[in-house]
Amino acid sequence: MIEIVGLTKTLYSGGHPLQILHGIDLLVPAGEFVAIMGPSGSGKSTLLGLIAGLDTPTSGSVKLAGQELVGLGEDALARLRGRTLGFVFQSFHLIPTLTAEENVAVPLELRGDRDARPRARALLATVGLAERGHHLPGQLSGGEQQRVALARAFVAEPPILLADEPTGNLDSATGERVLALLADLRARTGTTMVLVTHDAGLAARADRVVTLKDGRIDSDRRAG
Amino acid sequence: MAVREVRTGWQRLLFFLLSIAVGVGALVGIASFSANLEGAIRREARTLMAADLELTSSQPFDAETRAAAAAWDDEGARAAELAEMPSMAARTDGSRTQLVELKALRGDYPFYGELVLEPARPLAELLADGGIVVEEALLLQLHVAVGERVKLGSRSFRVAGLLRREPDRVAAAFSLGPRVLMALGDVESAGLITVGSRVRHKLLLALPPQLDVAAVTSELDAALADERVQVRSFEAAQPTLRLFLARMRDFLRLATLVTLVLGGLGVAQSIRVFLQQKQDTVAILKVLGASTGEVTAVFVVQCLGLALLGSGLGLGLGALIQQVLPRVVGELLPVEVVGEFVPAAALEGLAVGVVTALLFCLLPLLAIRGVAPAQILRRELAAIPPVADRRARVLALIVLGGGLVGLAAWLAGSWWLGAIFVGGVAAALLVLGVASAAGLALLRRLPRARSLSVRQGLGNLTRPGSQAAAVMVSLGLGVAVIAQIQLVQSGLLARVADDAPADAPNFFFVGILPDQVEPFRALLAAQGALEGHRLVPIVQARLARVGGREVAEMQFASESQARSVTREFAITWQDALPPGNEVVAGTWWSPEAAGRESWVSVEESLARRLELEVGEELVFDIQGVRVATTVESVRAVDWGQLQTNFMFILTARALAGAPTSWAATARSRPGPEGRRALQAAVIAAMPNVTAIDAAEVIERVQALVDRIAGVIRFMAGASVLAGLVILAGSIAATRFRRVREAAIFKALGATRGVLLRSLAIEYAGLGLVAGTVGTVVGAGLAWAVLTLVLGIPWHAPIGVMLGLPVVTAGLTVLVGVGALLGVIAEKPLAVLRGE
Repeated sequence: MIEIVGLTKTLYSGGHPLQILHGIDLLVPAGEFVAIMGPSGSGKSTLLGLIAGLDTPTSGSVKLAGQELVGLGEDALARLRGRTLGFVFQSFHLIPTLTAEENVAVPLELRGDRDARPRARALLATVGLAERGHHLPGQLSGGEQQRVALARAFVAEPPILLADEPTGNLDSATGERVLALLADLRARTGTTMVLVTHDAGLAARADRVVTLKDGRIDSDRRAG
Repeated sequence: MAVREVRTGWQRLLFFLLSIAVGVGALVGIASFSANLEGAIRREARTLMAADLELTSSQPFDAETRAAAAAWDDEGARAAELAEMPSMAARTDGSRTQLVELKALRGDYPFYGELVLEPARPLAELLADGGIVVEEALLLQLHVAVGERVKLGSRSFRVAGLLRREPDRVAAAFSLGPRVLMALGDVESAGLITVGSRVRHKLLLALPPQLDVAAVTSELDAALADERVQVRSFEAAQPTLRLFLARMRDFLRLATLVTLVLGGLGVAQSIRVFLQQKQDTVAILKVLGASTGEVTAVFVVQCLGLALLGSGLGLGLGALIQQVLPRVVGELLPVEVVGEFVPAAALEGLAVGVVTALLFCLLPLLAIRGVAPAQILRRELAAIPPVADRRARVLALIVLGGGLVGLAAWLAGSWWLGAIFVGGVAAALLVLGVASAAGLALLRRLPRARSLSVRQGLGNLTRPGSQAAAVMVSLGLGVAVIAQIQLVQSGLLARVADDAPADAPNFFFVGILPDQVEPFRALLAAQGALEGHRLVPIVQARLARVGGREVAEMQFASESQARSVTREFAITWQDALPPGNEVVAGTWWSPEAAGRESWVSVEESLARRLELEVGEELVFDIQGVRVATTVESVRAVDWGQLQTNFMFILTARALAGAPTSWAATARSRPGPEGRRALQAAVIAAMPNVTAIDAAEVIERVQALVDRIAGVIRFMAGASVLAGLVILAGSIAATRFRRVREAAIFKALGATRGVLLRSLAIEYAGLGLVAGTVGTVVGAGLAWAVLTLVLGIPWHAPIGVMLGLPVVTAGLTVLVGVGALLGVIAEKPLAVLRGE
């Protein structure tokens, strides 16, 4: 489902090259749940961003569901994301001007889905927010916002879900609830999932844990 | 510390500088330009009069006046005599005619300045033996060449040369037609001066250096018994034009206040956003022991520095405006203006800019009081924008209002006018604010749009913390100013041109002699122009006594007020109340009474100015003969109608025996052929009659109004520019938020097209509301000016009413989307990382 070959990323800071990723090779088969761990600055988020086509690699290749990302234009990348990716961010990143239900409907609307609203409403009910659909993000608690974000990530039934510290901004009880939901949704849809986290407990739930260190894969092991 | 604080976040403050710079630039531009114009007029004053002093009168000078002037000949003074009047020129075959401004002269004209002639020979030589010198426009109009003949009055004259420049000619924009120069003796022989001619007689004097011009002027003034003769030194040359230019200057200076106020709003906006970013700094400074006063002082010093910098930038802009203005003003100017640096104008601009900026910093700076030191520990505190307490805000508002009135009073030169102006701007801002808030509330209440782009675009306008309302008010004010100018202008022009009914007269004839009245009627009948024609007798008169007071002894507040009473009036007698007139006090007389009594009916506004009531005495001076009348009625007059109207209408008995000429209004057969035929027939049969083609006059009025409106619109453009700076500032203030949202949308699969569409919808909505509200407010102001002040019926040209909001929306989309193109292009990864 995800094929990464020889992926490097170099940034220039004050005229000096700073290599973030050194030739990453990673294959994630369909339906697998991979946790990416590593200390701060090890390149986790950069890797996730490159998988999503949100940034361009310095060299190497990224394929999602057989489609090569490198060389695609900005709009083609956006369309590909709309078709194949769901996102969950640490700080939720809901659109503040849209209601909870409208936020969930965005990926469907961008695809031109006609029944976006009913489907969004149904998924909101699944995450336990049936009554909060008309509220703006500012009127929701952190846990509720992240549940809306989960619904948004799953609503278009993407084959791949990318999550970046999804519980990092939540207290442990709320975080636990969100994780249970995430696991439940994944189980229902069979989505391939790549999750970046610092939390070893969370990583333990994954099928596989990849640890990065200084921009290289330090270990790659099956969980359990 | 103040400097250190500015170092970060300076981009935001760029809009502070720009906001102030636009207003200061407009002010300095106008002030420098008018100072240079006044300087040029003062330097060229002798040229503008072509003499050291002049005597002017609407009557030929009597022997006594001539003797008084000639008395200075022994001291070395030289004299020239001029007569200026409108007249008709025609081809000798009568096929083409043209209204001209005739200047007949005797003596050594001009004493100062240069008369540029072609061929370059002495004027006297060219004018000898029935020669005339004309402006080229006349030759083009009549299809005549130099050396050929042109008919003026009862004679024909040989065109001996072309007039290229004339020192004392009033700016071309104000003239009725091309200039014709001829010898004074020829005017008399051609019978050009008759009872009804509107002649301006002038005696020009050039004094030798040892004589003091001012002393000679006042000595001559005292020596002349004839009140109709005005004596003026070169320092007072061209009084009407100078009054016009001074009024224009005062108006434009005051108009820059709109731009300054808008700039102030921009300053307030920048400082508010800047302080929001600096809340942590403020809190930390307070934790470290700085008092609110000390922290405020840091930011006040910053504001002062920025205000100085912005005003300095404005000086540069002003220099630029000063260079452009002469091109905009163009033909309205009698002299060439050099764009010199004017220190007084620059100083004034600096001072006004700094004061405006500081006044508008006041309210946002109060927020410093509301920042709690604890917020560096508890982030959620920082999310609530700090506000000062109510009392402090009211106090700040009072200082702001008072300061603005002071500024306006300074710019207008009158407390009263300043207060009215600030009140007007405040009222307009209030109306715009309420209307914008209502517009946004309406948007919020609309059912949520189905399209994502529409929902997101409109949502951005109505979201909490949106600056849409502020932008709408500031853009709206600029649009309102433009709309008002446009609508008043088109209202005025529509009144004279388009709205004239098809059967309205299109010709005015003046100077018809009493024995020409019947032949004139016959001529109209032959030309098919008899229907609807109107002939009225005209007598030239001045006011001698008003309600028991001698006019000569009356005191006036200003020269213009004095002139409005002491000027020469064209008065008439009528048996019946003319159309378009309505008696508002007293009664109209019967034909029998008109033959028996000496009564007068006075126009309403003049009666008010003269404090005249029915039954009071009014004495006229008709060429030295006093005619006493009693006010029998007061009339309201519809001046908008294309017909001859009068301030004073008398009974036939009152004016029996007075020297009379007749004026007529008539309608020619349709089309340019009919107009030309009627004009040619009249000039051929009665060369002393002046025919004025309404279409030509309207064209000239239009050109003049266009020029003046162009100057005003240029200045209004500055206020729109200030509005756009505020728009750009608000975009900058929300840029960070937009980058983040664009990144989320992109991560979710939105293409750049989707993002562009939602931006375009947002700014189109913003511009449409601002444009509509501004146009409506401007239309309200225009309505007030047209119907309440000018008494012209209001009608709104649909093109302007619909076009302005659309143009505003287009401009807003251009600026908004243009400024945010970078946001759309940015890579969304930073958001994923939570940076």
